[in-house]
Amino acid sequence: MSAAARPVTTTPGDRSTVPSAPTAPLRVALVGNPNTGKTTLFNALTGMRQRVGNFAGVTVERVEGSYRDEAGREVSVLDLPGSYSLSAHSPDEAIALDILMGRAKGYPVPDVLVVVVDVLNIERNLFLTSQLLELGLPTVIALNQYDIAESEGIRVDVVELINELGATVIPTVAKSGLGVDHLRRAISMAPSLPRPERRFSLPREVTPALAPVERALVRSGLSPQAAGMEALLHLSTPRSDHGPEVDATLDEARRLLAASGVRAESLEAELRYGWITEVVDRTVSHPTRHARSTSDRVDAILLHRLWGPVIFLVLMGVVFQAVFSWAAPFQGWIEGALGWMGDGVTRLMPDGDLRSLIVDGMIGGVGAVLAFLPQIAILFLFLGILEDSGYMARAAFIMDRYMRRVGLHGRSFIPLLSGYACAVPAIMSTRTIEKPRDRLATIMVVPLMSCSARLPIYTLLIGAFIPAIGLAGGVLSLKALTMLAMYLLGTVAAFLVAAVFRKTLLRGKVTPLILELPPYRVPSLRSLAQTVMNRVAIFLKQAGTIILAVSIVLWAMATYPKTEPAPGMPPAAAQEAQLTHSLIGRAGHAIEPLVRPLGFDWKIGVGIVSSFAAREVFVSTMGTIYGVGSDDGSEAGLTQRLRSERDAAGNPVYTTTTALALMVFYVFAMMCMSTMAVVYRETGGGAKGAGWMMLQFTYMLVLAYGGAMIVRVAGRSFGWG
Amino acid sequence: MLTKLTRSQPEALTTAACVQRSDPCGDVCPLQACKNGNRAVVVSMDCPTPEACRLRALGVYEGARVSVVDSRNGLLLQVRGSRLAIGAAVAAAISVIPIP
Repeated sequence: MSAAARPVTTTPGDRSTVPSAPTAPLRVALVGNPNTGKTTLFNALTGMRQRVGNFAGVTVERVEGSYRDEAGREVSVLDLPGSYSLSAHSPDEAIALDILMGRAKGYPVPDVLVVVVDVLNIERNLFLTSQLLELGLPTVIALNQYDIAESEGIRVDVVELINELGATVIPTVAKSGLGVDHLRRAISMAPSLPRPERRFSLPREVTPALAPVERALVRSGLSPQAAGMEALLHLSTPRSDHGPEVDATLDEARRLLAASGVRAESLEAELRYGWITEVVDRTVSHPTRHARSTSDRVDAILLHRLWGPVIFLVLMGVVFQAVFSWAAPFQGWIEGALGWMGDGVTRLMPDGDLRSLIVDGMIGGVGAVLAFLPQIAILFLFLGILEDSGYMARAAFIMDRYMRRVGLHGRSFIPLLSGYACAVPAIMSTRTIEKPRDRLATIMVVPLMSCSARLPIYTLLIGAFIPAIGLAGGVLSLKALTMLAMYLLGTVAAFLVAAVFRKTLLRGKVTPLILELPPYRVPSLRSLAQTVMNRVAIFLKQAGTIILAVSIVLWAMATYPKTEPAPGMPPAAAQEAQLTHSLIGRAGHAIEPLVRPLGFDWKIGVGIVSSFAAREVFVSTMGTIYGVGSDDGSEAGLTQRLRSERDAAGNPVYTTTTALALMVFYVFAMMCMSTMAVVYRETGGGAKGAGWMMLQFTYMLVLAYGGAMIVRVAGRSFGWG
Repeated sequence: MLTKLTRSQPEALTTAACVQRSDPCGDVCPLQACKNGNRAVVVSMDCPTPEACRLRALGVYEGARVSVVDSRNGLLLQVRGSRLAIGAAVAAAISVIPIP
């Protein structure tokens, strides 16, 4: 029988066999190759009831969701990271493996496995499937992309496939939700069906060679079924992670096999793919082999050795531009809404510290960060489109050659580019990089890319202190060139620092590129929306906790201890007096000796200290210090005020050199609480995360100080003043 | 449903390829030496084992047939219906016999 147009359920039994709502939830793990539509299927299964977090102690993201089945039983679904095999190469795969083997602390072995198989790629997908079947857990196979397979004329004999695999097979279309109801029913039913097992027999000489390995694995705590799977798998790996006893038995098995002429390293692949070839021959019929020709034609252009990189850069330019320009109106609305909130509170509450705390501390502080929410949402929307359409893998392939020269991976390029918008989502997007070392090297340099929060600082200082000289016949201005130089400085530094890290702390070869290029697909809107929502939720949670706390602390430091303004003092002067007297003012004075060699006075020191949490605060602090608002559209006033500022000896405080030094300082310095929090979390949290975070903060501060110092010395010797 | 091991497969193919030696790169050659559009049988993989393990799961193992889509910039392979991009370092360690 070939499968009908609508999904077929061929599960034995009927609805009455579904057990009636027991109290404990059914624990389901979703597994499958990358690019199978696994996440889309997860979204379709669980809807909005999802939680995103990290697995304890590692940076692997944990996505869990739940639904109620027909009998009212709670079913909790864990979306395990995509994997090609049950041998662990990346932290993602290690986690998936530990959970399936029952070795992960706090995660019992799942009650049901749902294996997502891409019909279009069924041979490759059945490799992992065959390993999973041997674990002997109740298993349901979701045959995804079923609609595309049908439209391409690929016929799957689902009933025969069920016979071959010994597990329930449900055709699904994750994008439209087709077959998901059947899948839910099959999941609830799976525990009461016979367990799956290995579907091929080992050659005569292999069974006795592997028996001691299996016994050793069972002694180390594996189930007999899992031990059978592991023994075969570890024949091709150098170490088993199960201890010296198992490794010794494996060495002996390899010796025995070699003696009887069996190549141990490729035995598993030969056996499984041999079986897969037969299964596919019996169950799948391809009309012709030209089904992928559209992808081929597109690839011929997008991966062209000349046009490929050009198209990629143009595409990135468009994304970059969109992140800036599309976000602007939304940013305006958020700032407007926050302003309205602040005004409302100001009107409703009596003047005092509490009102100041809410308006200046909480709404002002968190608001400055919330303004970046649209950029983050738009960036992740684009990243989602690139990923889901299949282009991201091509981009990594194109850039790999260039990135490798500085010790970065092809996949590092997108995070670095995203860093121009905001380091927070950029660092979150490094999760696509498999190896921790490659990922760490990328995380460590992403904040060197000039993010949008530096823009207000560059704009203010360039506007005030870089002369308006036309260059190249007026096409370029010195102002624009300075701005470009700041962006270039950060970018070049990022590549150099990455190279240094790869030669020191993160020594080692860059992971060789082995990448699947999935066929091009039209992304699902529903799934994109879900991805963006998840990211936005993570960001909001952070804004509501860490950033809120820091904002309150900074506000308190600028407010206390209090000083009484002298009678008749103008408000601006009173504000300055308060600031001088406050903790943050004292801090500014305290660090003045440190920043003096760079040509900065204590007021700039205050600006630097207060902008520790977020760079753009520098501009508003300058406004506060000089008693001129920068928010009310009078930036010109601030520019004038900065130009006319004189020190005790009557010399201008801000010279071109000072302004350049200050900009260079901000190019390099890690002045962003949100980035530090994300780095802390993404590098593993705890003492390890804190270590990486502090190392990054320190090296960036050293670069900032050194860079500013060089500018000052150079500027003086060139006589820029 | 049960399959028996076909251990002699690579050897058999080696012989077959030697009979009709029309390909310019001769008997055994590095994967990168194959022309675009060539099909080939993998005979050995010397890459550091962790990478080789991943390749085997993806269908590139000793005895497997692969099609070379593009060998000029990195290496693009068609293996068991999926397309793989392989970096130069890994590709250089894979020896194949082209199938004419």
